[in-house]
This record gives sequence, C-alpha cells and structure tokens, in this order.
Amino acid sequence: MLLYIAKRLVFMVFVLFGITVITFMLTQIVPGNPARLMAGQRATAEQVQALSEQYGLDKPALTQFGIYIKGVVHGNLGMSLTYRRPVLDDLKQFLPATIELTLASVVLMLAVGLPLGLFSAARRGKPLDFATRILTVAGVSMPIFWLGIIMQVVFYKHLQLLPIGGRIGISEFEPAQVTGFYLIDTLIEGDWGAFRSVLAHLILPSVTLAAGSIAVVTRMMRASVLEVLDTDYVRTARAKGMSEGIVLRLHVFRNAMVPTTTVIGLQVGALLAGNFLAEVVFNWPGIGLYAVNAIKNQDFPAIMGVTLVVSVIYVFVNLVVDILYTVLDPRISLNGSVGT
Amino acid sequence: MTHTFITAQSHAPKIVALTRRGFLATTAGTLALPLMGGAVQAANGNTLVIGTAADAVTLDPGVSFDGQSPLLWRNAYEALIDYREDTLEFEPQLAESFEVSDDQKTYTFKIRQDVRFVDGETLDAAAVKFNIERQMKVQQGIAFVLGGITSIDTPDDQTVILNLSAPLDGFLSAFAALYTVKMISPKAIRDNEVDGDSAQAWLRNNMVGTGPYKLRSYSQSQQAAFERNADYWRGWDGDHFERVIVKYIHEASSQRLLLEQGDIDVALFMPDDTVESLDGKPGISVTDDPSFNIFYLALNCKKGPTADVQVRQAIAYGMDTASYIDAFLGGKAKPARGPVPSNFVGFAEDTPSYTYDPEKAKAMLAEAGYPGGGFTLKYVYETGYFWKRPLGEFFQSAMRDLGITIEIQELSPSAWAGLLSNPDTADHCFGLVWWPTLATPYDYMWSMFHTDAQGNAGYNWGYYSNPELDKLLNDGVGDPDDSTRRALYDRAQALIVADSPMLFLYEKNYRMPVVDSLKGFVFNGMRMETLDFYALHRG
Repeated sequence: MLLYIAKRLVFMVFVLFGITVITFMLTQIVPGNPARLMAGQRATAEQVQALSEQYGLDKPALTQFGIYIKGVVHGNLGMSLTYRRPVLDDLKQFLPATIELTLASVVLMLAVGLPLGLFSAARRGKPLDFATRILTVAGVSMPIFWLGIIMQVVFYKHLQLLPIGGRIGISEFEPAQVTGFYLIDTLIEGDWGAFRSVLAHLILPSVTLAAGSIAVVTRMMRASVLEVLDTDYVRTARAKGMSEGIVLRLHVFRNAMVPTTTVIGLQVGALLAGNFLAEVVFNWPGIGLYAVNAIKNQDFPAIMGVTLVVSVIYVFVNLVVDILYTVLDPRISLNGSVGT
Repeated sequence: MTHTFITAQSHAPKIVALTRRGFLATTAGTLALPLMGGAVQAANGNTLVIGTAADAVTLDPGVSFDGQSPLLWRNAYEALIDYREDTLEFEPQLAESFEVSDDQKTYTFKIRQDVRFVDGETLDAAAVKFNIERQMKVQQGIAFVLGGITSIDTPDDQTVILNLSAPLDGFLSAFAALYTVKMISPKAIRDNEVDGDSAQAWLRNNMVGTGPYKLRSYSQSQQAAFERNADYWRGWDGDHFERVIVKYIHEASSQRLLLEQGDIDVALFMPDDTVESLDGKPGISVTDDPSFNIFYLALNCKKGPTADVQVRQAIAYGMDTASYIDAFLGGKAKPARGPVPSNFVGFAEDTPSYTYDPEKAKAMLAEAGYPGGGFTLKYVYETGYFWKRPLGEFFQSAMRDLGITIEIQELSPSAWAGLLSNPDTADHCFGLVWWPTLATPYDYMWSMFHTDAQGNAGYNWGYYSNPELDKLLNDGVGDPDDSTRRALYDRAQALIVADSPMLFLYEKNYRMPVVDSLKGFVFNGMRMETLDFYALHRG
C-alpha cells in the first residue's frame, strides 16, 4: 500500500505541473494590463512601469512562467497583484475558512445523507422514503446562490434566527489568527460567546453548500442499499433470524458504502467548487471569494495559487477514497489484483 | 457526527436506534444553537459599523490609488492640511498654519507642537520631511505631484519649507484629503524597513499614525477594527464612537439586508439601483449631495468614423442625457456642461454644450459622409462596474436612431485596461467616471485629454490629441497668476467641448445609505467613499 501511495504522490507532481501550465496559459491568453490596474487611475507611466518591473510583468510570458515555477519549487507562490503581498500569506489567511466550511458541509453530507439513504431504502415505499425522494430531487435542483439568498431572507430577515454571513458577528472582533479555524481559535481564546457566534455563522453556509451533496449521497446510498437488500446473503442473514438492525449494520451498510464512497469523493470535489458560490453569497472570506477577486483583476499568481491548492486537495481526496475502498472491501487491492 | 457514526458501528445491535437518536439530537441542537444567543446582533450603540462592498488594497497610504483604502487611511492617519467641511478651502490639520510665497515656489508649513504618533513618537518638522521624502522615494500614490520639489528645509522643529522648481497649480492639495502625504511614524518606518522598501510590506498590514482612531486588528477582505487613540491631540470631549468596525461585505443583497435590520450603520460601494431601492425605507436615509463625480462616454479619436470630429459632434447631439438621468438615475444627477464639474473650482461658466437634437445629428452625419449612419462602434465595459452596462444600452438605443450600431462587450477590469491602454488595440467607446485628486480643473483635463495622458500614463484612452490644448494646459498649470491661469483653463474647456472627444454625460449626486440614528456626516466631493469616524455619533 505504501508503494502505491508513493507512486500516486509522484504522479501527483506531474498532474500539478500540467495544471499549472494550463492555468498559466489561460491567464496569458486574455490580454490585460494588471500593472495599470494596480497603479490606480492617477498613476503616471513611470509608476506603472515601476510596478510592472517590481512584479516581473514586463518579462516575456515564458520567462515569467520559469520564474514562477522556480519560486513554487522553493515554496514561493509569488506576489498577489490585488493585495500586494505574498500569495502564500493570502492562502494562509483564506484557506482555513474554506476548509472549515467544507468540513462542516462534509460532516453534514455524511451525517444526513448516509442515514437518510439507509432508512429510506429500508422503508421503501413508506412515507419517509417518499419524503426523502422529494427532498433529494429538490436538493439537487436548487442552485447554491438561489438557495443561499432564500435562506438569508428566511432565517436572517424574517425569523431573525441566524446571521446573514461572514464568519463572526458583524460588530465582534475577529479572534487572533492562530490556526485560522475560528472554531478552534475562539476556543483557544476561551471566548465561548465568540465560539457560539462562529458556530451559528457556519450553519447557513454549510447547509446551503451541502444541500446538493446531501441529496446526491442520499440517493446513491438508497440505491446501493436497495441493491444489497436484494442479495442472497441478506436473505440468508434474515433467514438465520438476525434482527433487522444487525442485518442493516453488518451486511447492508458496509456493502452499500463501496459505491457510495466513490460518490462521496466526487462530492467533496463538488463542495470545493460550490465554495466559490457559497462564499460569495455568504461573504465567507475563503479562497473562493479570493479567487473571484483574483480572476477579476487578472491576478495570475493568485489564480495559480488557488488552482494549485484546490488541485492538491482534490488529488488527495481521490487518494483517500481509493484507500478507503480497501478498508471497506478487503477484496479490493491497490496493487491491481483482485482478491477472492 | 461522523465520529458518532463510527463509534456506533462498534456497538452493532443498537446502530439504528443510536444513529436515529443521534441524528435527531444533533438536528435539534443545531436548530437551538442560535437561541443560545450571540447569533444575530444589532449594532452596538457605541460601535460604528460600516459595511463596504470593496476590499481595501493596502493600509499604507503612500502606495495606492484605489478608491477603497482611503476609508481606513483617513481615520488612522492625518495630513498637514484638509478641506474645510464641504468646501474646497484649506484648513490646517497637522500644520498649524501654512503660507504660500507670491511666486508660488515656496510653501511653508508650521507644524503643531502637541502631536504624537500612536507609538509615542513626536511629530515634528523632521518627521514631516521624512514622510514627504518617503512618498517621493516609493514613487507611488501622490508622488507624481511632488516631482517638482527641489529641497525641503527644516529651520526649526516646527517649520517645514518646500522649495519648488516651478509653480504648480494644485500643489497644496497634494497635502489634503484622500491621496496625500499622510504622516506615518518615522521610527515605525525605520524599524520595519526591509531591503530598502520604506516599510511598504510592513505598513500594508499596520498603521502608526496620529489620527483619532488606531487600528486594533485587520484581516484582509474581512474586517478592519479600530479603537480610540486615547492620546489624540484634539481630545475626546463630545460625542464620539468608542470603536469602529469596517466590515467587507461582497454581496449587495446582504449589504442591503444588514442595513435594513440596523446591523450596519452605513453601506458603501453599493450598486446604484440598490441604493435607490433603499430610499424611503423606514430608519434609513440616503444622502443627496452634489459631488465632483462626472461621468463620460469616451469616443476613439484616432480610428474609424469617430476620428472625424463632425461624427463625434453628431453623436453628442444624438445623446438624450436628460432622459437617461430620469430613467436610470432617478433624477439624482444633472447634465454635465463640459469636462469639469459645474460646481468645481475653475469651471468655465460660458462653456458651450450639446443639447439633444437628433435631426441636427443626422444632418451632421450626412455631411461627414455617413448619411443614415451605417457604421458600427464597439462599447466595452468592465465586470463589476454596475453603471456601465445600462449606459452602454442607452447609448446603443440612442445611436440606433442615428443608424449607428453599437456592439457591447463585457471584459474583466484588467482585460479592459489592457485593451484600452494599448494604442494598437484600442478603438472602442467606453464609460468613465472621474473625481479629482487635486483641487484644480487641470486634474480633469490633463488625465483624459492631454496627449501625454495616452496609454499607460493616464486615461486618455480615446487617444485624443490636440497640441493647442496641450499647450493651454501646460501653460496653465505652471502659471502663478490666478486670472491668467483661469483664462487658459477656460479656453481649454471650450476647446475640449468643441472637439467632442468624449460625451459629457452627467454630474451625479453622492448617494450613501445610512441609518437615521447616525449623525455628523459631512460630504465633500474630494473625499469620496470615506467617513470621518471622529465626526460621527449617534443622534
């Protein structure tokens, strides 16, 4: 298994290099003048030129790419043109927010999607199953930006139950950035009020972001469970007189998890993509919001930084999913052979 | 939750019940959470909360010309002088008094004695000199106005004398308002300088000024939190806020909801239609003050049919700006009367203007060799500039009446700037808004119409060039005599209008939505999209 992981990691380097090349090309295809934009409207030609030189924008594209790659190898992702500081500093600030939100959504997706799919299949044709099916269709149909705004109007404006956006109360100070995860940082500060506020701020964005994925996971789980329920070994188990609970837990759940895991892995990717929308709607200061700004300003070091980080996460999630298969189903081997 | 699930698996017989119970408990817990308090908060009485849609670029007042950062600079940093309330007259700030020599080549500032930076350092003549020199060295921001300084003398601790090689109209205003030489603690700059960067990297995230408020914390794109500078030289008598929070809110709909609920006191950088929809809402007022913002539609003067002055004039006659103001701006603007706002210093009263006359426009087009129009122009605008799309559409429909086709294209701001700042690729019409940095009409006319302002240097991206105008402006800005200078600028304005390189659209009032309880706001067109935290209080 270790050999397999090592191989995958080596392969990842090539994937990331390919992504970097493509992203860089895309940022160069559009003609732009980021230095002019940075310098501001009263800047003189000399000031624009100075900025251009400072950020290396006056060099040919290939040279710029070479400098960039050399920097990346040394752990330097370049300077953000929008915020005029190292992209690494930007990512350090914005990435934890995205991870916090994504993790909250993953937790929701698993905690709601898996049991809902399982029970819905176990009670096939009953009211719960019926309700679940309607909800899942609704879940996959609602675009994030629409659902988000509706949630804000209902829970913030009318019910006044939940905050509209951001990571912490609008008139509260942000906690000191230790880990960047506010749930942890507020605990470090021992500020329970702030912790509760952070938790409350997580609800609407994570529910909005997770809604689609919950629906997909529920449907997949339901379908897989139904398939497994029809198998001979389940019939045998029941015939042996096992209680339904044990049958579901021992025979059905685990076997149904194998195909569902694939979907969960894909959904983590979807959540990362969905972040771009959810973060804008909920004013969530993560890399999605950062990337949207970067794209507007043709801030290529920032765009490349975000792309790299998201790619790394995505590749890792895929690796984890592959490893999980072997845990869930020992017949699957990572070395290409299938056990019996 | 995942954790509960895994644990449950090891207790096989109870899995179903456990999970269901766990699921219900967690759901209930989640719903009950906000009721525990702290989730939805109304703005605190002693805290001013500002919601702004545009991120500050840097906290360093010396290196950027963006429109968003000055909100923060204005309250932590101060300059030598400032504009008095809503006028264009100067009043002392960190300078106690100032004097300009008759030949306008020597500027003498007397510096206040009782001022300290928040790090305890004293503000004196040496500190002022240090800051002006830093500004010149970093070559960004207002530095372009300071190029004419030949020497800075500090005969004593309270006196700073600037010597210029030649008079420069508007020079004094480089020391007032938004984009100016703000005073930063020289010690902080020296202590945090890295590789001769004049502490640019450090000052990006830190503020060490003399202003009424000091920075408590700052996280990019999230919030800037300020608290009182207890030792502020003007003291804390009267009504002032304890702390100020600037919150960056990137969605207009959220910004609007927050303001309606009273969670934020002011909303900045909102789209026009959102602002107008807030007018008349209970508890909210929208300011309605004349500004120095003037809106233009530039035509390309070098390529295509619009290279012909007669075609440009015809287009000007074909734009019914008054109905645009009524239909799209709720009447909160007035037609512009030339390149300089009619309420600004140096506006020439007798500047001619184009009044809507489609018949005349058609006749002029025919005369220029384009009977019935029959040509196509491209109009480009940047993503996020909400006023430019409706303008483009209005332009399109107005030109359709003259037989001219307008193609509209949206671009990213950088691509837009890239396209237009390059003389080889620019052949487009585009919308532009201008507000002044310096209190002189030269500010407007040079930046958009002088030949030297083409390409990367300014905003003359219609590539208009008239040597006569260039000479008028060059002579005007260097003339020490007020009336001579005035006459030169007057002629320049008439010349620009006659050549019609841009359509002079409208002068728009400043519309800022604010909760009724907030008092003390004074608008000055030189200080767009900023607030003086010190002057504000709850009524």
